[in-house]
Amino acid sequence: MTSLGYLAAVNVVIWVGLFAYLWRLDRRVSEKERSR
Amino acid sequence: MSALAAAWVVCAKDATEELRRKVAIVAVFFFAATAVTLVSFAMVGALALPPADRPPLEAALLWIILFFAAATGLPRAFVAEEEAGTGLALRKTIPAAVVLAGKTLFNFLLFLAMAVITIPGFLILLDWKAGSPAGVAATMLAGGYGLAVVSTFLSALVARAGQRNVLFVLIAFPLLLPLLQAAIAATIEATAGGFPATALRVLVAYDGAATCGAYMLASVAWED
Amino acid sequence: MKALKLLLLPYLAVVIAAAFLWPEPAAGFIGESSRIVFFHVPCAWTSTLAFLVAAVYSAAYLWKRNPWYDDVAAAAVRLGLLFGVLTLVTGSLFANVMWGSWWNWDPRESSYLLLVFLYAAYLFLRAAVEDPDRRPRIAAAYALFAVVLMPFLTFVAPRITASLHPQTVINPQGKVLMDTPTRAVFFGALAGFSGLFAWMLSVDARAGRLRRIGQDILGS
Repeated sequence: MTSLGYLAAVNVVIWVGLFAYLWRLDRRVSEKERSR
Repeated sequence: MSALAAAWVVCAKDATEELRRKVAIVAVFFFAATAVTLVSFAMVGALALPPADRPPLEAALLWIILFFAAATGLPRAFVAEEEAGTGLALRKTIPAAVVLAGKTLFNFLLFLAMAVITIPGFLILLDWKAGSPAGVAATMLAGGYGLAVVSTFLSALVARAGQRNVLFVLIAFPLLLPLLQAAIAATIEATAGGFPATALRVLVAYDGAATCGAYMLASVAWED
Repeated sequence: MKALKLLLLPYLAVVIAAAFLWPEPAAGFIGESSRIVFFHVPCAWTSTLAFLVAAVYSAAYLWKRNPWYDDVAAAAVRLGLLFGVLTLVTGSLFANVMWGSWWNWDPRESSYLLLVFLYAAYLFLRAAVEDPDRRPRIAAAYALFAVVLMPFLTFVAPRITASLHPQTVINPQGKVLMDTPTRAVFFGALAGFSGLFAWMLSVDARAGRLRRIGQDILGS
C-alpha cells in the first residue's frame, strides 16, 4: 500500500471509531438523563 | 482596627507561634542548608568550568533550591491552622483578604530567612561571585514576594485537601514557572555584573498580577 | 442538533481527505510534513478554546453557584488536557521530521507543555478535595488565579527564555501566507475540530452532571 493510502486507512479507522464511540456515549447519557 | 494593622497582627501571631515552636523555620533552614551542600558536592566537577559559563547553572540551581524549600515550608501557612483547629475561628472573625495578607507577609519573611541561608552557602561553597549585589538583592525581594503570594494563596486551596505535599508542588509548578524563569534570568544578569532591569520589570508585573488575583479570590479560597 | 452531529463525520472525512489530497505540500518543509498543520494547529486551537471555556464557566459558577457550570468547566479542562497532549505529540512528530529532534524549546512549544501541566494540576486538585461542596469553589479559584497569571505563562516568560536557549528555527506555523486550497482546508479543519470539541464537551459535561447527581443521591 502506498504511504498516502496507509495514512488514509489509519485516519479512517481513528475517525470512524471516535465518531462511533462519541455517538454511543451521547446516546447512553441521553437515556440516563431521560430516566432521571 | 485598619485592614493593614489587622494583617500585621495575623503575621505577628504566626511569627510568634513559629518562634515558639520553630517547626517551619527549622524545616526550611535544614532543607536549604542540605540542598546547598548537596548541590555543592554534586557540582565539584563543574567548578572546573570557566567562570563565564557558570552563571546559568548556578542561577538555575539557586532558584530550584528556593522553589523546593518554599514548597516545604510555605504551605504550612494555612495547613497549620487546620491542624491546630483554629481555622474555623479565624474564618469567622477576620476577613479572608486580611488573613491572606498577613500570612503572605509571614511567608515572605520566611523566604528571606531562607535566602539568608542559601546565598552565603552559594557564595562560600560554590565560589559564587555576585557581580551586582543590588541586582541580586532586588531579584530576591521581587522573586521572593511573588513566591510568597502564590504559595500562600495555593496553600489556602490545599489546606483541607488530601495528598497535600505532592498536591502543592503540582499546582504551584505551572503558575510559578514564569516567575522562576524571570528570576533565573535576572540572577544570571546580576551575577554577570549588570542590573537586570527588564527581568525585574517582569517580576514586578507578575507580583502585581498575583497580588490582585489573590486578593480578589481570597474569600473564595478561604471561605467555608 | 442531532443532524449537526450526524453531519460532523462526513464533514471531517471530507476535510481530512482534502488535507491529504488537495493542497500542495508547502515550500520549505520536508516531504509532506506541512500537512500536519491541518491537525496540529486545530488541536492547539481547541486546547486554548477549552481553557477559555473553563475560565468563563468557572467565573460563572462563582457568580451564580450553579453546579452545572462547574460540570462544564471540569469537562472543558479534561478536553483541554486531551487536545493539549495531542498538540504536543503532533508537534513533536513534526519537529522530529523537520529538525531531527523531538523537542526544541521553542517558546510556543514550551508554553503548551506548561498549559498541559496546568490542566493536569487542576484535575489533580479536584480529585484531592474530598468535600463535594468545596470542590467546585476550590477548582474555580485555582482556574481563575491561573487566568490572572496566564499572560506571563504564554507571552512574557517565553520571551525571556528565548534569549537563554539557542535560537530555534522560525516556527513554520507563524506567518506563512496560505494559498487558497491550504487556507480552505485549514479553516475547514479548524471549524471541524471546534464542532467536535463542542460535542465532546456536551457529552462529558452531562456525564459529569449525572455522576454528581448520582453521588448526591447515594450520599444523602
